[in-house]
Amino acid sequence: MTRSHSTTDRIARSSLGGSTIQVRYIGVSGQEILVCLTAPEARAALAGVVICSPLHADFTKHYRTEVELGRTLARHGFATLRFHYRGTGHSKGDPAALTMSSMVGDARKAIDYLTDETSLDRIAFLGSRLGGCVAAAVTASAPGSPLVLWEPVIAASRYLREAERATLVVDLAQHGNHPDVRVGGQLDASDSVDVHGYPVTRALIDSFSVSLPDLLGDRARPILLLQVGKSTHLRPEYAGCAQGWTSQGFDVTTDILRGEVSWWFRGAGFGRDDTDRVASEGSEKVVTWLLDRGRQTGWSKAAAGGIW
Amino acid sequence: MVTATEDQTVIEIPIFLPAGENTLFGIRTLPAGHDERHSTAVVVLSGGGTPLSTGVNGFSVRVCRLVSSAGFHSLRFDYHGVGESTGDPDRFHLGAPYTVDLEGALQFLTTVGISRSILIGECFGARTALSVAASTHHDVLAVLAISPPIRDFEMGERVSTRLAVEHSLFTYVKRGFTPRTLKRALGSDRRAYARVAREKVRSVMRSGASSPDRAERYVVSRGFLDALRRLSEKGIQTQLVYGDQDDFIGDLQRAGSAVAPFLTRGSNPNILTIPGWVHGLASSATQSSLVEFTDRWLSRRARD
Repeated sequence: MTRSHSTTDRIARSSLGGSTIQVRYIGVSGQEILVCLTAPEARAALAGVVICSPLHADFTKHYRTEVELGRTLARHGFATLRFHYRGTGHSKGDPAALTMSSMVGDARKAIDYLTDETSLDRIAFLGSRLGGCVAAAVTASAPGSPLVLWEPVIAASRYLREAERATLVVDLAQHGNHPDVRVGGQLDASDSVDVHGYPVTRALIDSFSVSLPDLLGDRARPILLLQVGKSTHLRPEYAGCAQGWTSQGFDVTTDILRGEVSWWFRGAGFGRDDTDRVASEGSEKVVTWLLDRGRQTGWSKAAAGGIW
Repeated sequence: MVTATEDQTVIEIPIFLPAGENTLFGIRTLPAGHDERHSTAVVVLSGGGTPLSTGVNGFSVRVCRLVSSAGFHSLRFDYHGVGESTGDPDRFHLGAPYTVDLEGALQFLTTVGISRSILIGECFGARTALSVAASTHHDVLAVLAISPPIRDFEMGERVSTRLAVEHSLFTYVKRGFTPRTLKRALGSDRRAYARVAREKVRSVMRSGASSPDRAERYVVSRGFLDALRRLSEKGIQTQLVYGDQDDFIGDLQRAGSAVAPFLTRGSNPNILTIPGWVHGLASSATQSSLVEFTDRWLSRRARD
């Protein structure tokens, strides 16, 4: 594989195995976000994908998956834009100000950067975990754009329940404690609760009060819904969403990535974890689905303003 | 204080740097009006549990911005196989810290005109820092090692190997079978208890499995002790910090005379314990107190 790298004008560039990556900060001083643009090395991209990442421990758990996904997409002709929300990752900003609204605002900046850099007008969106809600919110204003949802959080209440279970498991295993107050109860009493070293604020949870389907709206589009887990059956909440979207005329594909990924848990410390295998399998499914959607539309701009 | 706040008077620059056969991603944080010729860099290394250069909840990011607002250059980077760096993900084994990655980072600093560094590492990052500081040609002024493990085990084996050292499976099971535990295990949290029980049994069984490095997982690491001795000989100021609730404290006690010289006030290297659970930076309160500790520690270095 050929490798090269450089930094000019505070932009870091590297190339690897048919893809290039460009990393920089964008935005106003003190509120800059880090953006990572991965693109095909030897040809112009056919279409773009904006990836809306998870938060908290999921951000770390899923990071490499998204990097590898970007490289895989680039090898198949897509430009991918990943970014860190303000107050998270390497971006600037106040973590306490992190809300659904701020995350959607950052996603819109990322979209603008992608289109400015590549001149692409065919953009798909991918959201993982809580990032699924962000992707749904920005996609709602892009008629016909394909949307990939990777183990999405459908409702904030479920996210809190998962956090609760994670703290209970660690408290039991490492400290022998059984906490008397649940995560949800702690949030009722204070502005923030600590989950494995990540503060989850009440403002953030309250800002996700609208469910993912309501954020997405009723404008039909292609959707790929990926479930990650050991079950061979689609979870009821996902089956319900898929059914609802199908009845509204959406083109819905569901698939299951069989494997265990311990969301909320960091590192390899807890149980077997199939993150790498799930990442590889999921990337191939996403690429195949996007290429298939592109073939169906003939890579042409749809009538009446659709961009896929 | 060197500074107590992170502010906007720093500049951050993404970089890619060569390290062995890989290309690592990193972020340089520079003070406003920086001059590499008279600068000392602070290199921050993440733990194996959260190997991204951000660290847990942005711990590494906060440390870098804090020290750079006080006039230091700083650098944080993704290990090979992690984050934006190239390479295949390796197992994080404490017997094989990622010294090539850190040497690459130090070499990069040399190429941009910075010849002196201070290393700050957490857990696996601390072991990497200790190992490289003791042997590198780069001028390392000091090392802050946050909760470096004392034994050599692989990521995910900390609890299982400790249990194997401390308890037999029978002892552990017996401790779990109390009326209170059983009541809760059969109640609404039964799934959580089942998961914990499953993992405990699996991990303790695994710890007995044959492995080429089986013996080393249970005793004080020779690599750890050798690094401390070399740092002492070289006169590099080295501070190790543990939480008094870290399970490494038990390892320290079992290590006995091997580490006793480093527990004396004023010794170098020096081992300090602070209240709480430090390893893994598993609470935001711990992270904040360690950021403040780092600030005070660097202030003393700056005065010296």
